[in-house]
Amino acid sequence: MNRFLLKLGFFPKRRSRSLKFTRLGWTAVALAFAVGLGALNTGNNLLYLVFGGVLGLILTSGLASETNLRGLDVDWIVPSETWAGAEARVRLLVRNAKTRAASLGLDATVSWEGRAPLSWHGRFLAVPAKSQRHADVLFTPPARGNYALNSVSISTEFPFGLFRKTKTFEREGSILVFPGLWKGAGIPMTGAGPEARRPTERGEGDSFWGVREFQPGDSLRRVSWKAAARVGRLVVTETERETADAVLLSFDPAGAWKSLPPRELEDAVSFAATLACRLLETGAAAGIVAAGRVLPPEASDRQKFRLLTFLALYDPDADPPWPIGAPGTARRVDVLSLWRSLR
Amino acid sequence: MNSPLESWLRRSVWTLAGVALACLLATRELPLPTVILTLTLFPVFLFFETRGRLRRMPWLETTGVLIFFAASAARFFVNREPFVVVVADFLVAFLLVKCAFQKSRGDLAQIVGLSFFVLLSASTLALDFTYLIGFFLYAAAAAWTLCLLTLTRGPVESVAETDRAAVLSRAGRVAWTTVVTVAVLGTGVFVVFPRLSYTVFRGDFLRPARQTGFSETVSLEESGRIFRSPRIAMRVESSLPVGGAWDGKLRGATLNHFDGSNWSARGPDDPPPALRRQRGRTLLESSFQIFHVDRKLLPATDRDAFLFQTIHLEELDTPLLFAAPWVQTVRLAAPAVDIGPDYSVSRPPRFRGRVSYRALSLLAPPNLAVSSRNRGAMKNSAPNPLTAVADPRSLQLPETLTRPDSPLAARIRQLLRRTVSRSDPPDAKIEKLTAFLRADRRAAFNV
Repeated sequence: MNRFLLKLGFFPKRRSRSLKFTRLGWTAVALAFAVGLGALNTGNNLLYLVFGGVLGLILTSGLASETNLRGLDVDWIVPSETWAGAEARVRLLVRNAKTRAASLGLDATVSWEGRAPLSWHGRFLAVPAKSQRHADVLFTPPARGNYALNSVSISTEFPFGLFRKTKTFEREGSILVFPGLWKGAGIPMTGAGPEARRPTERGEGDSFWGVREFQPGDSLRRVSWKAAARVGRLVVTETERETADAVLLSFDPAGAWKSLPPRELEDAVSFAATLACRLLETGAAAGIVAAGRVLPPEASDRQKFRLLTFLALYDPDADPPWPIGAPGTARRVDVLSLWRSLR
Repeated sequence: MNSPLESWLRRSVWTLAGVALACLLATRELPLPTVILTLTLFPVFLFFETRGRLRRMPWLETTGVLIFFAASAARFFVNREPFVVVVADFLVAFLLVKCAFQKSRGDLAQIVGLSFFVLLSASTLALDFTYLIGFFLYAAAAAWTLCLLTLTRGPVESVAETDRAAVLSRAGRVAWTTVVTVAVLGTGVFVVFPRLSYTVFRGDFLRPARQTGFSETVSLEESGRIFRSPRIAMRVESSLPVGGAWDGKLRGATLNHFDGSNWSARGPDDPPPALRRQRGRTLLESSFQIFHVDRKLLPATDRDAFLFQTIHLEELDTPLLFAAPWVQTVRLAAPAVDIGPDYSVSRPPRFRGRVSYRALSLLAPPNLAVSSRNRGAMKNSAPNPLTAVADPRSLQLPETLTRPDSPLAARIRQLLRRTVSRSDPPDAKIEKLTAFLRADRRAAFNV
């Protein structure tokens, strides 16, 4: 029967309102009962009046809290990168679409479900009609991974604090939390970092290398007119040839990673993330090879996002989404061995 | 507490407390010292509060409240003062103590709660419609204050100008909605429930629907004059007599006219005495001398053989006032009382509603002259300090009780049929009736 009524639309699929009495609310209800019984017992009309007054207060509270929650919407702005264990700031927004009535005393809550629960909570004193207010919330994601949106709700105890009424929104969404940065000893970049870079040399590139006298055949566009004016002859600027060290972070063999206890696995993944970031920061191209599947090395912000996404979701039991390919000429760094040597 | 919201909250809590106290004072039932202290201290504390000169001393605050509590308990248990008045006094004292010190947010919430109980206390004492004005003012102030109390629950550092306007507008609208809702619901309950409850709820579960006679278990002062009830309710506070427990009975009869100095019996066709008006009020407390007793002539052991009683009556179907058997002096807020031939005392016929009076009674019956023959004998005997001259008619049934429309007449006649015979002389009837009432206490209370 209920299913039939649900199909007909008599019942909403999910209750969008919930009510929970506060301590003051229970006190008010108990007082109403006590005064009502006292009025019955004594027949005192003024006690009946007070009894009616308390009932009126409770009724008004219900009506006003409903009006308070009507026409509200919650949204949020998250930072582009969120790291496990690192404090981040999110901006919660509450919009009031009502044309006349302001909404007061609001508590907005956005909760996420992932490896560990995560929630944002913001308080809004007043959101006037046809306007929005924001609250910046600091939070620290407890673990890496994908967090699915669990619930978005806005609640209020306004007007009298007798009960907390909550409005829940139907939403879907997720946020990705990158692994936390490694807190172990400094990572030596031997074979993987700046130390492994080849000596710089002149060539095509964007970085400044030096100046020399103009020679026939040099392009006039490379003449440094300021320097020429200073020294009294034509000089041209030379640039450093861009060279990229290609490193492939190896997550093979998968069995070794699977045998790691969860805590150590998280530590190793954090290490890998930190290593990848260092490599990219120093201009090296970084890629990943795992279960025989290769993410080719590349030195770009997009690659950084790919690497961190892989590491945020890394599971030794699952294969990465890339095709099986040859590792190429890039230097291969065994992440697990390097991590073990530095623990 | 420096944000604008918290400042508004503080002001509104003071207003709420003031309205509640005004409601209680308007009942005119509080003792004069309480009224004077309230009217003096509340503005003084408010003045110091606005100047920020109140200090926080929790130990002194707690001590003050405990002292007032102990004093109130003593007044109730030792002095036997009316419960509702003692409670009202204590609530006023508690509220004033809270107002006297610097207040945290918790203290403000406590004052809000206290003010509700003060309003509740006023509802048990109020007798006129001035309470309604205070009640609706209180509803508006309470709604406004609770709004601010809820909004200041979290940390509130500053409020933007637009938000401030929004808060004021919304909280004001909620306050007015509350007043309207409270008025509608309160009036509905006020008008309908007592009528419904009378037969529906007052069954055997809570209390017998109809109860005749007198009872010592009813708290009369806890209910105002509301609607006509067949129940006769009474409370008698008696001082302990010297030399043991008093096992006296309640009795009464009536004369029907008092001309300001003398009592007399009047015929049924005589017009009832009009109530006198003084200073715009109809009722003034008067002292009525029933017996003329010369205490100096009494033996030393009998000088304290008097019983002082404070008695509260209301909604009576009979005009009789009740005290110990032999009332010497009655003080009550009435222009007159009727004294029966047997020195029983009753209210004037037109005087209805709540009565509170104090009576000084003799524990032993005075040496009455019961007939003209005895009166002659009395003239020749030595003066007796308890002697009062009584008309032979005093030994007849009081006129009010023999009237066919008197609600007690049937019961009195039934009682007389059980205890005396028609052939008995009047004094023998009295003796038999008195003996019966002394022996059967239940009959005495169910007259």
